[in-house]
Amino acid sequence: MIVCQNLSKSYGEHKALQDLNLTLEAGDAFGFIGPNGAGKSTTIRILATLQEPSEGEAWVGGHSVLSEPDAVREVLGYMPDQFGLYEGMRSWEYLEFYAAAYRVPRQRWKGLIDEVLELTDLTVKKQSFVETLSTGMRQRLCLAKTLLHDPKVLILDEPASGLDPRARIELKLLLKELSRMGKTLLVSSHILPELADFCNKVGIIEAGRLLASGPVNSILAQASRDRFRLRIRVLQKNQEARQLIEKSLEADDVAEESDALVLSTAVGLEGQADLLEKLVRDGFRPVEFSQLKTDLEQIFLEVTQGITQ
Amino acid sequence: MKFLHSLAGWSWNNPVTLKELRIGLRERRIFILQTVYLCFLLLVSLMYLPNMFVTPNSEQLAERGKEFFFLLFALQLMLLLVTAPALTCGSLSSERERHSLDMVLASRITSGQLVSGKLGFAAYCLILLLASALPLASICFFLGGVTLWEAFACYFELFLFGMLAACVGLFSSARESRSNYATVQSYLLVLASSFLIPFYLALRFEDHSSTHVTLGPYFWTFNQVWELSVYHFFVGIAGYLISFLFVKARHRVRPEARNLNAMAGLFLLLYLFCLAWAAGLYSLAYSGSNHTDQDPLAVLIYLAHICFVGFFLNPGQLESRLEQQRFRASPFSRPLFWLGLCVLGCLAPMGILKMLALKQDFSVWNLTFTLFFLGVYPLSVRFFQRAWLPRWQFAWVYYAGLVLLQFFPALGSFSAQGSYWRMTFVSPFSTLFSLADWSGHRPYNDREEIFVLAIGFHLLLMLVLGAVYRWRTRRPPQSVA
Ligand SMILES: Nc1ncnc2c1ncn2[C@@H]1O[C@H](COP(=O)(O)OP(=O)(O)OP(=O)(O)O)[C@@H](O)[C@H]1O
Ligand SMILES: [Mg+2]
Repeated sequence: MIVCQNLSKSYGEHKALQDLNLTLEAGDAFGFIGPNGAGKSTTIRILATLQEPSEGEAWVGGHSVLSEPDAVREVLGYMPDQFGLYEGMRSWEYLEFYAAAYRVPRQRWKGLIDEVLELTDLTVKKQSFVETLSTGMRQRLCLAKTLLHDPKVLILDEPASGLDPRARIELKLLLKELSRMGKTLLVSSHILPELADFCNKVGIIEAGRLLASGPVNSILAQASRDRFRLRIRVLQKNQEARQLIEKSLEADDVAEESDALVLSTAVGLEGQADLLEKLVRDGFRPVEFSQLKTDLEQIFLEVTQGITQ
Repeated sequence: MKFLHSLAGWSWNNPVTLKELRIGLRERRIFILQTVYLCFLLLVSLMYLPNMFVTPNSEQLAERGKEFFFLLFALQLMLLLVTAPALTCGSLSSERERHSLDMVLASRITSGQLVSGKLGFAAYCLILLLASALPLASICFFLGGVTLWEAFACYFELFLFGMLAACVGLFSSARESRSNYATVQSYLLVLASSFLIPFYLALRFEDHSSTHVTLGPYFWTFNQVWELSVYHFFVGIAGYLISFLFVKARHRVRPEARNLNAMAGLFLLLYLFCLAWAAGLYSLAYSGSNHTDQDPLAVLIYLAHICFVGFFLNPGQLESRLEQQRFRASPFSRPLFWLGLCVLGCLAPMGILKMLALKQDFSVWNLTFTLFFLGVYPLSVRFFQRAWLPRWQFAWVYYAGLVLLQFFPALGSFSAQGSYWRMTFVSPFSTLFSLADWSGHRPYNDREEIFVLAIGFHLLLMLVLGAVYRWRTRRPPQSVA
């Protein structure tokens, strides 16, 4: 559904995007993660035919963004990171404008508008003026507008920014629902837990380069294959235990987290068992020795290096 | 069919116009504008009315009616020029400021639809303003003196110039990303061109003394041929500028090859219009006489060529590779096309003069060669610019220098030849030639020979520059899959 081939974009000397390759199948939900200024919005704007890549090519729904932009716009629903609604319009008028903009046949406008308002839980606000809506409602109205022409591909740039936790969960449910309806989703965010839930693929981008991408599970597995994150807690004598642990696990990033030690290590299960045995033998009293599940946040921190452009 | 479809999308079926109307008519702005507009008109008419009915003579009464109508016309023209840019100068830039433009551009609205939608809103507002002032203007119909056709022509013009001012606002709005800048810019543009208004109005307030000529679709009576023609010229140029600014604004919203083609096409239309205008003027002014002063014609076509150079030197940037390819595929991107056009353009005045059976003498050749050089100069400048100059602004300086050189009187080696050398070109070659002349060597004595040599020199210059350009841009073009 979405194919990017050696996508690059430079602003003068500055390379905002370099050789991005990406392939998404129909029905994929792709989470696009990266720190500020990584090039997420740039990629998304290229896919939405708002910018032209300096090099490379991209296809959305089988249409090239370079040579058939109008066909791309037809299959694509785009929600930018910053957006303004038209003040002085009612919600349904706003939606009607976009229904006309996407050339939806006039007789279907009314039904469709009711449908998307229902889906985004805005039915009660149908007659309200746009400027009277709260931030979260605006976000949902914008999403409703994006869904109007029933696009096969949805590209959302940081849809959750500015939402309260409850609205965020609701948005997540809505996106899950859309994904279940068979739409291809590309969602960028820097809030990671939000993506892990409904994405089946993620890509991590930093300084214009895609550092890792693929199915969530395989990325998680890949990252945790040879490194373990452990949480160890002993009663008293934490400091002495720490020295022992650092030595035998060759860990240099031991951190204290409410009486417990959290660390990552490349030492395998054998070595860990040895350590536990040694701790007991040396008179420490371990109450916790557990392996932490690697999550997206962890991978993100490991893969990226904090380069900012 | 396709054209009709897009026309429908641009005009009555345009979602952008509907949106603008919904927002605009809910605001208080339009109504305040209308109130101020009407109050101002009313105030002036109240000051004028008392001395309107004092004359018993019906002929004088008609004269008063006419005066009053023209007064309203002039006032409305001025008011429209002030209000119309306000209707559009924030239309695109404010969407940029509010970050709502991206979503519109990512939808299936075409750039033409977007721009014409904004313009459509301005058109509705202008019609609203004009219609609301209609009852006031109808007072003069009681007095007589103004025919329906005259009134119709006046309202048509008011609308036309209002739209022109709106287009100026739209263009600045499409250029700038800040509404403040766009507002300032559009008002500066309108102000800068407002010195033309008195000239334009003077055509209307002239007293009836000399010959009356009725011509054109306006059934208007004018005193002199010249005024009539200037009037037509104003209207024609306004039409051209409206379409030109529209296309420019569309190009700013989304740079596309077809905009460049449209601009070239519009230029050609302007060119034809100027020729037809000149022919009309000549046939009216000089029919029967054997007057051979071609200066007005020369100046006119000279102006047209300068417009053409404006397109030619800076055809607008095309970032998109696809659009670049498209533009390269069109005839307008080919120097040969423009060269052909120049040659035709140079032949045309001769054809006109011949057609009108005016006396021809050598000055026609003069003119022709002048025009030829005005065509060839930009071509050479274009090559020069693309081969060597880092910025197109330098090319303008270079071009201006070349043009100025043509009027450089100090090189007066030709001054002895008589007054019709005024318009003669002075090319770099002939400069060299006159230098040689001064230094005592005089290799050539014949004007034609100079012309031929100078043309040869320029063609050679273009050839060399073209070759350099080719050589400097010889990397293989990237293709779009
Ligand atoms: N119009 C522009 N001109 C110059 N540089 C730009 C422009 N737009 C973006 N950039 C640069 O491109 C890089 C990528 O920007 P982009 O907006 O894609 O980042 P992002 O990943 O969306 O960041 P964020 O999470 O903050 O939204 C940045 O370094 C930015 O400075
Ligand atoms: Mg961004």
